[in-house]
Amino acid sequence: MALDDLFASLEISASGLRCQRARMDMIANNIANAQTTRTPDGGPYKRRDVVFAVKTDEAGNDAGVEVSDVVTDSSPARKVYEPGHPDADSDGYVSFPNVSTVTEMVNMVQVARAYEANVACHTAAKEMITRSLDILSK
Amino acid sequence: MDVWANTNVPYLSKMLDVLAQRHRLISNNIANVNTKGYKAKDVAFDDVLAQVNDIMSTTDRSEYEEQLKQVEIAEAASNEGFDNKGINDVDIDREMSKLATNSLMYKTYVALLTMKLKQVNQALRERI
Repeated sequence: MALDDLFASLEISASGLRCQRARMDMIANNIANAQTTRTPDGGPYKRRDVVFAVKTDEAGNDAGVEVSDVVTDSSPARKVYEPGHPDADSDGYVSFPNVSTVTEMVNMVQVARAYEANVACHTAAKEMITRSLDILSK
Repeated sequence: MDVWANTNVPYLSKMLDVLAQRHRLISNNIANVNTKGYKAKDVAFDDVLAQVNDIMSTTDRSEYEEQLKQVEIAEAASNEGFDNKGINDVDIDREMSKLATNSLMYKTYVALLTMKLKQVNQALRERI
């Protein structure tokens, strides 16, 4: 049935929006902590990213996207020579997070575009449903 | 007597079903634009269209509604061979343009359907 598919489309676009927002939250967190040298686990903050996976419904049909995992970037910390810093090691080097602000900004633009694409999808589905319902009132 | 047998209403509603399902698949492709290993899908549109047109031109008007209902709306790979930065094969520009085309087609068929229903309505009103 046509309307069932359209309502499913709304749900799919919503899942896309949800996932892109989760990724945006993660990027914001990375940027906010770009200079954080102290964490509860000890050592500098480590960059994190989300992993997306295809979501399927009970019938086995594709039903959008979901966040399947949050991974920590294991690349080495950025060493900066700052002997006066309270977290400097014996050689005077401070371990800063492995966050590259430029990379995060690029990812952020990507997320914003993907979000927009999902909004466009959602709007189109909504309009198609409205048109279909208008048949009744003609 | 079946009121719809001599109209193209069953054809139009079948096409709406096809386009709605197509919209669902396009939405799914767009939602998964950053999903690693995802394979873009689409309705096998030309194939379905060929089947529907075949039924429309060969089957008797009184039977084609049933036959149309039985046409299966098959899914197929959409952008085989396209490389989206090694993540998957979703071509976002193509999907967005398909989205626009698809929803315009949907609106067109809805307009045609509305027109047809108006005609039937008119015919019913005139007959007293």
